[in-house]
Amino acid sequence: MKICFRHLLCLLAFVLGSASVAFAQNTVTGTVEDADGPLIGASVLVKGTTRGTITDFDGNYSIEANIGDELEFSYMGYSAQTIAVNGNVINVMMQEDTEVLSEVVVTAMGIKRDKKALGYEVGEMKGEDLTKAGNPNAANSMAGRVAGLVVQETAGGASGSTRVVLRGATEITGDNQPLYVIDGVPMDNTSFGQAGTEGGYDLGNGLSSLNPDDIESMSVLKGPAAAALYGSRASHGVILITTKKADTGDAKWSVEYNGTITLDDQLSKWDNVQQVYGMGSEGMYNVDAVSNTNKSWGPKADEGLMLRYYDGQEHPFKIIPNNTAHFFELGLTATNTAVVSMNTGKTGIRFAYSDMRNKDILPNSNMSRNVLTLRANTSIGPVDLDFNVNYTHEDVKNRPALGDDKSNVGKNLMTLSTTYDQAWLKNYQNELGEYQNWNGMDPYNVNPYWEIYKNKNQSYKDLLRMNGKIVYNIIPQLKIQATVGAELNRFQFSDFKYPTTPGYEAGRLQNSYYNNRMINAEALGIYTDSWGDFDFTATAGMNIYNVNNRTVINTGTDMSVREVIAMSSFEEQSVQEEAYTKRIVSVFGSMNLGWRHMLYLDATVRGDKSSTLAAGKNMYVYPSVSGSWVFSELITGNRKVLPYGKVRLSWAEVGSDTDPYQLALRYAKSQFSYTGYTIGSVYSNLVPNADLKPTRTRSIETGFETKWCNSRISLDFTFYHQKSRDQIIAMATSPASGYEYRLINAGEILNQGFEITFGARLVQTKDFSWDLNLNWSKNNNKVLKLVEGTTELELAKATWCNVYVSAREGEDYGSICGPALARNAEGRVIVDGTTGLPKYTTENKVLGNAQWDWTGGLSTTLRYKMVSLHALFDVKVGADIFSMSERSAYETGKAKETLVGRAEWYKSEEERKAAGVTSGWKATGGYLVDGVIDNGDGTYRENDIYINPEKYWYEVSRNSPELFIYDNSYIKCRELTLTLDFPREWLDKKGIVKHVGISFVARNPFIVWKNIKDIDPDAQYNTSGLGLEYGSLPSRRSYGLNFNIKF
Amino acid sequence: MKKIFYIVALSLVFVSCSDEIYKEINTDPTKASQFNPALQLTYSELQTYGDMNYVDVHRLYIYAFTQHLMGCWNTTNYGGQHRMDDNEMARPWNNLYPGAMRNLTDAIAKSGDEPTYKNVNAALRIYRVYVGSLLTDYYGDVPYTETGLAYLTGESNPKYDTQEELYKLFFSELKAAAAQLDVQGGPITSDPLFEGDVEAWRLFANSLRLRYAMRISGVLPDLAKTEFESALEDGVMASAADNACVKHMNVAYSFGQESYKDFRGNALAKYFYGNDPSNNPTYICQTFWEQLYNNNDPRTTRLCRFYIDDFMSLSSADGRIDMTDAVIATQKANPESEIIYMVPPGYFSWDNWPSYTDIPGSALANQIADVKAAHPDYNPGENPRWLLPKLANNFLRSDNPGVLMTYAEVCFLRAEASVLWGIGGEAKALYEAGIRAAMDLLADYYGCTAITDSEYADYIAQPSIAFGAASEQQKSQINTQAWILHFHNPAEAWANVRRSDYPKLKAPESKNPLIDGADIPVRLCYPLKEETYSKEEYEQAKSRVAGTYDWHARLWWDVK
Repeated sequence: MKICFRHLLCLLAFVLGSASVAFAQNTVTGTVEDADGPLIGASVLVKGTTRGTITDFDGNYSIEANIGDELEFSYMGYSAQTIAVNGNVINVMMQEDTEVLSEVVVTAMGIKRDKKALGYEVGEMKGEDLTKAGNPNAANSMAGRVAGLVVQETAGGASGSTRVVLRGATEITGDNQPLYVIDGVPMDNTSFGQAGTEGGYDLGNGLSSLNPDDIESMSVLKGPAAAALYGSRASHGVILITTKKADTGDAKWSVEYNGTITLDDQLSKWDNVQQVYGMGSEGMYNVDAVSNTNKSWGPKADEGLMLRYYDGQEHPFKIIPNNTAHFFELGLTATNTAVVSMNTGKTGIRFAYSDMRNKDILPNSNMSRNVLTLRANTSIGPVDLDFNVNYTHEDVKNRPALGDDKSNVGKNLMTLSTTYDQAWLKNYQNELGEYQNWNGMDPYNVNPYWEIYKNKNQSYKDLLRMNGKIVYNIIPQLKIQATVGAELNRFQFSDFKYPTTPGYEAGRLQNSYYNNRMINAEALGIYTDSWGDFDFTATAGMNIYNVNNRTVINTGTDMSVREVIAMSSFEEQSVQEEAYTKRIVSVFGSMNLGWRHMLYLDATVRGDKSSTLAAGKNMYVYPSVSGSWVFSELITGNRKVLPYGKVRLSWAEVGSDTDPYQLALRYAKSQFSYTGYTIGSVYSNLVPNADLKPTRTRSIETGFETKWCNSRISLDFTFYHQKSRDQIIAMATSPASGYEYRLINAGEILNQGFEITFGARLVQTKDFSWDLNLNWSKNNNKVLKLVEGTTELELAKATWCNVYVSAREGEDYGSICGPALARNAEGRVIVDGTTGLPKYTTENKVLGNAQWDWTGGLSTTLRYKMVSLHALFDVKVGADIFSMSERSAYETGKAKETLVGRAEWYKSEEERKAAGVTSGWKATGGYLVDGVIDNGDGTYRENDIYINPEKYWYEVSRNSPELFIYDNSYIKCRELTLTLDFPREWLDKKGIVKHVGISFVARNPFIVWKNIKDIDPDAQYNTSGLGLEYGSLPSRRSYGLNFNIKF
Repeated sequence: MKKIFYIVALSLVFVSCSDEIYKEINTDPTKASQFNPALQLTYSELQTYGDMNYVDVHRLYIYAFTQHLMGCWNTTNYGGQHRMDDNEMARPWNNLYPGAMRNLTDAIAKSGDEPTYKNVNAALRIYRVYVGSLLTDYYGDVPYTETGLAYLTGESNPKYDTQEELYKLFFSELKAAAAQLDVQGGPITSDPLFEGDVEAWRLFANSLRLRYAMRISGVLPDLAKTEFESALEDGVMASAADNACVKHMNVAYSFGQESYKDFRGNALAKYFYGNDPSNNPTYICQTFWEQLYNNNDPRTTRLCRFYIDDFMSLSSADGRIDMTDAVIATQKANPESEIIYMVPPGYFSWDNWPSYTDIPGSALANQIADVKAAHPDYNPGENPRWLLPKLANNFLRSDNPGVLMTYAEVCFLRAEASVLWGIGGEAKALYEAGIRAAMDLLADYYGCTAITDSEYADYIAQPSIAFGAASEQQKSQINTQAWILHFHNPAEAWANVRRSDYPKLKAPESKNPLIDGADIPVRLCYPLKEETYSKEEYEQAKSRVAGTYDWHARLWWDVK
């Protein structure tokens, strides 16, 4: 990268130098008007330059231009005009243009349509916006951009996956992820692994391996009406990704380079801890210093005291500041993309190569991703051909283990005692290369250096995505097209634990091989015509979708040859095999009717036949109807105030199938072999059901779109109401039934909400403009009904305090439930009269909710001449999170609040010892639970029992989740970019260099506001168990430079 | 071109639409749709002691309630301190129902009409009763008749059968299953319990009836007596050869993810070994230690040893330094000194921190000198946690058997029946035969040095052990011996202590706070989620118990 920077500097000097060249001057003046009078703020530009101005209050302008130059006059809502300079005065009469107002958006089946003809809301994101800050994961850069689209990252970092939810969860179980369609072909977004209750790795998903530079635009089809044509897989909405084609400009060739390099460091740290007491328990330290290493309940830190640690070294017993932060390193992310594009008018070829490298803040953890994309399109007579091949290779070394995983270094570091320097743990192995016992071989607090340098995990992904499209334009009104897409995804994950690792004493290697294959074929006929005031479009098509996935997991245990990390080095090997095969055949059609560009009516119908449902029940048909009325068409005369206004209304139903093999019981042999015996069991953990019907989701959506003040202000509003019934749910049942889940059609879930999008160009002057875009959405996601006899369904389980996230009848989806503190009628905590500890309820209560009350985004761009400053903020309000990291900070005596009562308790203990009392002593000081004691006669007295704070926090941190449930609201700055776009005339005269831009970029640079203290609100360990956080690694923020040059 | 396109597209749609092809696509190529039911019997037999998820309940609660073990963090924190934890108490419920119960119920239904599976079916029925008895003895009224049927009949909210109904059903079901066993009835393949020995299965079924009859002897004495006699008539275990012990396999020690799905090794032995063995080994509870040591039981040093663990291997019990003989010799030679330390009920091992003072010339001082010589950097006297008795290495092997029922237990049951009802033989002889058989178990299954005839004779000759005259004393002696025997069968140990009230176990003294009640709990609570998953049935069961979340409410058969 060093070389790259030097080149950059040379270039900078060169272009700045050329900017000082003076121009020959000739002043042109004039007035810009329309039928009603002068136009204020119309733009006047010398074509091919950045020299421009705008008209004043009287519609007058003045600009320097040479004879022979061309002036470009433009004004929102009017046709642009280009006039050659042949004198000093040019007056212009602008013509209104209704066509200019039309925005073209990509809708279902990749059909581009005029936005005003749509009866539903479509969110749009431009590829250039998504790549502005150089985020290597396209999904993460969607955060905060579209109303109703909620993006949730995991603590997994660059290699991890992202959860995207549109308008809340519509299915009680299931991932609720939207369908991604790339150039008309559905993408396999399978996540190969997520951290669960026992921890694990985030193995990324399909979206995380897309090259953001290949994206031209994304269309977000939020509601079922928009998505109805995609069928079952689209019941959670659709995100259509259109990739880039060859440039269609004048040039035959173009070459583009885009590079971003960022330094990544820790955004949220874990060092806000008490600075008084050191390692130990009960106010004492252990002489051998191998017990209580993860407790800070020892004596006060004392620099003069030397302790001998596990490795024979002596260190002072002092507080180590910023201990956790010092473990992590400065990360680096570099993305380099080169694009070659060729265009001969009829034929275009675009080839892009992108190389992304990331060195994580976690030591010895890195990844690389190479993406090759070739796209070719041509026209032969009436036939258009379009081919696209995309190959991705991804290589990740040492993904961070998350959650309760024994290998999660975050979890292990955050409990390390205040006086225990993490750097001492660098002696992780003995002379035999075996695990060095530093804390009594505690398997839940493994030496993080051992995890990082001795244990290894590695993954490889080879993804080949291809699609071909042929369009036959039979007559101007009719065309038929066929699209075939295929995706081959091979993923290998290998996870190794060296023998002597606590918890894996005999060593372990697990190699997981995922082989996914998806083929999608589609034929479509489109007929478009117009008669008089009527416009008409009809489509009819069919689709075959085939998935064939195989997974093989080999596990080796008992490593006898330690020199080679290979399956053959293990004494015992076991194999697990899984398959996933599915086919859906569909027929669909749609009809659009427009009248005078004012009234529009759409209707769609689709029928699916899915292999996952039983014969006779596997066909399902669902319709949608939508309409819009562009009422601004009625306004005659001056339309500057309200140039565009539309109301829309839609109704839709979508059906949905299930996973394969759910109709009958399956049996399997155990993966383990026991000579002489065969262990076999029912494999299905859920009760299969041959009578399943497809899930039905019905929705109504209404709203309006308006543009004000010469289209400088836009305001959209949407209300939706969506009910899913007959859901195919893996309903948790009492294990006493013999099964943990049963597959049934049941339940009703409601999603209802508002979305508001506001956009404005607040200021526009000759050199300066200020754009502001706001979006806000509120979704109410309520569980209306489950099934007879069941009132709750567990969605995810926490490691601690018997907490789980559930769908509870009558409650909002995503309730955080668990035991609560017992309270009297006044709400005071009831304390046990003998132990002085709080009491608990013996039922699980709703303690919080993991869903956001509302979410929003704010993006703003300030532009002055060629410099623009852009910022993007993500706002999420009202969700709760159960932080098990905070919980452990209290249990281990690291939280500052654990100082309360310590000195008093130790003093009381000294008094007790001095008095020679062993039992029956009433403590004179310590921690006093704020609560009352039951007198047994219906009255309560104030608690007066002092207890050991260590004991108190130990007990409540294991039994009382409500103390560790926090409001997880936040406002985060997602992106900050400062861009310098070099004006054309600064570049070389011959026009070889088309564009040079340089940006300073920052991703997640700071958190504006949050309620939870030490962790990042995005730190949840998986993308399905919302509301749970444990042992999260510090989140990352990135600063760097982006450089773009185009020839 | 258009024509070709239409033909291709339409034929594709029609071909791919056929229901036959769909059925094939929706058939899992890696799983079977039909199965040999004997393999599900294997699964169920091995789960009983092989499932780490379930078996942990013994380390966490049961061994603390029976006061066999104490001091390791897991045992003292939960069972020792009477700490209710919904997750931990739910272990039998959440693992046996979707495990053995699901498979046994399914396999019984699938094998019922098949003549070749006649014996397999009978064995499955016997085993289902056994697993059902474990569940009801932990929780009280539990689903049994309607469990495991969710696929077969669609029953997903099974009713909770009362314990009385269940015990009555156990008798009839065991009789019927034993009668169904037939030497001509097809082999029981893959049977790590009896290797397909039909006669052994029959004796097991009948012997279980003895156990269950004695269990209800307090609440329904007449029925108990009738059933006991009827079982004796049908024939019960007559020697150690008839023991019901599941064979487990020697697997590498691991607490990794797979080991929770691997039922081949004895999970109880894995827990005895501990998940951080050198720091958190299995300590013997003072109550059990004193019973053995104070009565000069020859089993004392076979079950309990004194080890220095600092040099212990990570994956086996190798490398421990055995100090037992020196410790015991020195204690015996110096009865006034506190050499041996113990973990009282409710204590953590570190709550009663041992201290060591050299007694020059003692066996212990000599051995300590030897240890120091071999390990110059290590001073055993500085941190002498090895002065607390621990479970001997013999019991930490994963190929130790899973003990369901033994001839020794049959002897004790018959001895008590003789005391209670004067049936089934001479109580003293049965009592002594039981002790002998219980002692032989250690050599037969665990590789301990065999207990000699003279060791045995000396032991039973002691006044405290010799069979007494008063029936209450006899009951106490028989059941105390059963308690020692049932160290290898914790579920039965707890049930029998609750049923017989012998040995008299004292509730822990409060070194650590007793979180949920001072008395030793007598049942496990139902999982809290039952209230939301199976509300109606749960409410009914709850109405039959005085406060469902009170683990001091006695079971139906547990009468004072």
